[in-house]
Amino acid sequence: MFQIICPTCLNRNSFETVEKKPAECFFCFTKFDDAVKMEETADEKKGTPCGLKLVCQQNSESIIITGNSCILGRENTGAQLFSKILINGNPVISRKQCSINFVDGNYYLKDEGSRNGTFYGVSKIDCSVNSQIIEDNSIIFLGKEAFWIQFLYDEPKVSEAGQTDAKAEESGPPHKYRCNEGCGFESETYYDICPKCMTSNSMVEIHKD
Amino acid sequence: MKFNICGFTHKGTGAYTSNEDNILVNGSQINEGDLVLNSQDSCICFVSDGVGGNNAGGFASSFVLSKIRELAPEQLKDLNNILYKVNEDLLAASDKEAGKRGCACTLSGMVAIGDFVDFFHVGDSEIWLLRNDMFIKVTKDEVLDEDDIRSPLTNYFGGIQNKLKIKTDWVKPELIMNDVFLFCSDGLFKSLSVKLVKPILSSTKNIQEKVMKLQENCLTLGAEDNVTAVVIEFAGY
Repeated sequence: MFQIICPTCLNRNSFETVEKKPAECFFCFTKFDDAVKMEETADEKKGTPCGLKLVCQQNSESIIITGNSCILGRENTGAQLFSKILINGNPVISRKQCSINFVDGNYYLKDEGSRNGTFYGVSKIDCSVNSQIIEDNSIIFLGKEAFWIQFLYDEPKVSEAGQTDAKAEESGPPHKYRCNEGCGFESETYYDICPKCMTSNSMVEIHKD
Repeated sequence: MKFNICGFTHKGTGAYTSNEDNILVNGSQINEGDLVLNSQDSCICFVSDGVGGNNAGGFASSFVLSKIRELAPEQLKDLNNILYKVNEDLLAASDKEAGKRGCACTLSGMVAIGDFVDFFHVGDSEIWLLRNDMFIKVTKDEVLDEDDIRSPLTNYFGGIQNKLKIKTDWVKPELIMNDVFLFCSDGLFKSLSVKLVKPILSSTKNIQEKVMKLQENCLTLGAEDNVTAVVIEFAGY
C-alpha cells in the first residue's frame, strides 16, 4: 500500500499501487503533482478480504461478518445492535433489512424488502433493485443510519468489547460454538439465535479440543 | 443577477436522532437531504439551527423559515422589521405547548432580488466568503465566549423571553463576480477544518460536486452535531 498526506488538508490518501496514484486529494480536490511526497506503507494488508466489519456511526458499535452469506436485521445478524437504534422510539431497521453475499472475491449488498430502504454511499444508490458491490471504507445506510464498512484481512479471533460477533453458517472450516448466555449449549454449527435459550447473537466461538 | 445554489442538511453521525437544522432556498424548505438550483435570478437563502438543550429546536427553525417563505419579494426588503414580528409569533406559538416552550433557533441568510442585497445573522450559524484566494468568516458568533464551542448563545429567535436583537451595523459584503458564499450551521466546522473546506470550495469542480464532497467528508470523518451547508456561487449580473 502507498499513501500521500495531502499538503493542503493533511488527510491521508491510501492506494494499492503506484499506477493507482490519485490525481487529486480524495478529501479536498487538491491536485497532486509529481513533486508530492508518496510513501509506501508496510502495515496495510492486501488480497482477498476474509470478512468485513460494519461500524455504526451512531454508537460506534460494530458487527463482524465472516461468512459467504448473511442477512442483517433486527431478527437476524446484528439483532443486538440494531435493536438499540431507534428514532422517536420506533425501530428504523427492519427485522430482515438486507443481505451481504461474498461472490467471486467481492461483497455484494442487497436490500431484502426493508421498510426504510438500504442505500450505498453518500449518493445513496438504492440497493432494492440490484446487488451493489461493496468497497472497503465505504458507507452504507440502513434506513437513515450510517454504517462504515471496513474489510478484514485477518481472521478475527476474539471479539472486541462492545462488538457483535456474527458468523454465517458457511464460514470456513468447522468451528465450535457455545452459548455465552449461561445455558451452555454447544454446537459445531453457528446459530444467530441459540436453539436452547433462544437468545440472539449469544453464540461465541470456542477452541475445539 | 445569476446564482448557482446547492446545499445539504443532515442529522449527522453522532447521537442526535433528529435534524434540528432547516434550509430555505428560493421557496424550497428542507430538513433532510440536498437541493440544487442553478442559474437563479434571485437568491433568498436562509440556514436555521434549532438550539440544542431547549425543547423542540427543530420546530423553532422550521417555524421561522416557513414564515420567511410566506413573504412576498417586496416584504423581504424590509425583513429586519418583519423578523421581530416572526419572533413574537414563535414565542406565542411555542408558549401554547409545554413540549415546545423555550424552543429557540439561529438564523443566517441573504436576500438578493434585483439590485437589492442584504445579509441577516442571528446566533452562531455562519456565513463565509471565498473571494480570490481569501476565505473569510463574514459573521461573528453571537455567543458568550467564542473560544468555547459549548458557550451559550446571546442572541436567538424564541427562548423564554424576547431577547432578539437583529444587528444591522456589521460589515456586510458587496457581491463581486465569482464570489462563493458558504452558509452553514455550527455543525459543519465542528466536523471539518477550514483547511479542508477552503480547497473544496476553491476547486474547479461544479457546485454539486463541491457540496457532495463536503457532505461525504462530514459523514466519513464524523459529524457529532446536525450539519448543514449551502454554497452559493455569484455568477454575475
